[in-house]
Amino acid sequence: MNIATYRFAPAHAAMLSPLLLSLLLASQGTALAATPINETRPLDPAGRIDIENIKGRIEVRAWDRAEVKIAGSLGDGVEKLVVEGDPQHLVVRVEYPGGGGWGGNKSGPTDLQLMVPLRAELDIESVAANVDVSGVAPAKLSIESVSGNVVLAAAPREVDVESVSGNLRLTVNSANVHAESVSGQVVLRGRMSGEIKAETVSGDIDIVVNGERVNELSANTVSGDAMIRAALAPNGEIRFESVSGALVLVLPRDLSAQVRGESFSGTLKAPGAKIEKPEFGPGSSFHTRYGGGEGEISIETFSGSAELRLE
Amino acid sequence: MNTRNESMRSGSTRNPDAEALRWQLRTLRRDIEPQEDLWPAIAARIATTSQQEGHVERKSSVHRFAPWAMAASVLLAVGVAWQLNPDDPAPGQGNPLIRQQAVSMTLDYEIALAHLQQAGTHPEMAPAFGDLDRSAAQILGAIDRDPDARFLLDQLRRTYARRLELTRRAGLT
Repeated sequence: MNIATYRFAPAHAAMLSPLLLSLLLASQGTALAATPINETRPLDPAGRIDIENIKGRIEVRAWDRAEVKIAGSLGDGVEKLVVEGDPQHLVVRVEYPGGGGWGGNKSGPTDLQLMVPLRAELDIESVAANVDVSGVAPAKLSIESVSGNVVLAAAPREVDVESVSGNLRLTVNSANVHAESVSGQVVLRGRMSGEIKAETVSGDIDIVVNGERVNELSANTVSGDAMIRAALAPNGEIRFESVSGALVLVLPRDLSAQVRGESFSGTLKAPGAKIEKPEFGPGSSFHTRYGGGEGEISIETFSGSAELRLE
Repeated sequence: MNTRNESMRSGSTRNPDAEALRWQLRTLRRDIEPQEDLWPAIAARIATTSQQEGHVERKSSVHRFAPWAMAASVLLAVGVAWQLNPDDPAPGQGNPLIRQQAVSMTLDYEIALAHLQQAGTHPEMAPAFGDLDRSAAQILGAIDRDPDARFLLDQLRRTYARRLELTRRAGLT
């Protein structure tokens, strides 16, 4: 780190005015916390870059140059910034004393700001660092976080984002999308036409698909609530499941699909559908057809409510 | 079962070999008499445990896991009993295959988790693990009440898989 630090013996400190002392201490803290980063490396336009930072922030933006620029600042106590690899595959990693770990270290937060080639493949790993990626359009984009939040506005062909407790706010134009969290909220927006998959344990799910008809969409949660607003492609399929979370599926009135719904103790609602209940015992279900019945939709919940709306 | 309970509570075991755990299971299988179907009572107990656990979750991350670990260990024994006599479901209890698969899955999960926890646990992950464990208990309780719901098996599989993957990753760091 090579940062000069100043130490004051108590006797000397006592002679300083409180204002001067506080200014000196403040300047000392600033010097320790911020080690500027300024690195540039060549990277092929369709190369790959891996980025790892445990805490702080990872910001990625795109440009039309065949190089990666890394700016920002290293946190207090961080061992070093590692930049290694070649123009096909670059690795940018923040190294911590003793190898770091999941929040076990006491180092300060590191702020990484990267400019990358527009189509470079991205693989980002964070623990508590918030991740903010915007403007990139790679073939593949992967982000893993533990408690850091993820904000993504991009057009990757395939995207895979996972967190443990971090919230995911993804606005993507993509063919295939996979978003998963344990307790974080998953908010998914954009034009998505291929396979869309969202999973949580207790986090809520909120999906809005714009301007495309989905071919394959599945959303499932244990106890989170989930809402999907989308249109279904001919012969498309939607699977929507929860254990106790409430489910709401909003589709256009021109829906053409067979729709099945089932619940053990929750309530079911679907326009025009007759909800069947056994004469004895719990449970309810419905099976109905809208339009030509080309697509297939299944909605299952154990104790949550489930509703299909046509708008 | 005490040995297993202790190892589950502590999050590690002196026995580093998963094979040894399997041998313990085989011994257990011989020791347990296949009697009645204990699944409903145990699943209900697990569900209750998870509710109680929810009330005290902020108090102690260590104590949080003990009830589930104990319940899971009891389930392990019940699972063995169930597996010994899978063709004898309680009357009116729905599809026995789904509960049988849930028990089988839980057994595999327990063994894998015990193995992974030898690498140590990570306190920062306690809330997520608690969330996953409560969810698994909730799903088991749901399977008990609605044994025809195949999608619950998928939910259970995903929850266990996620828990194992996070435990593995935490152990690596």
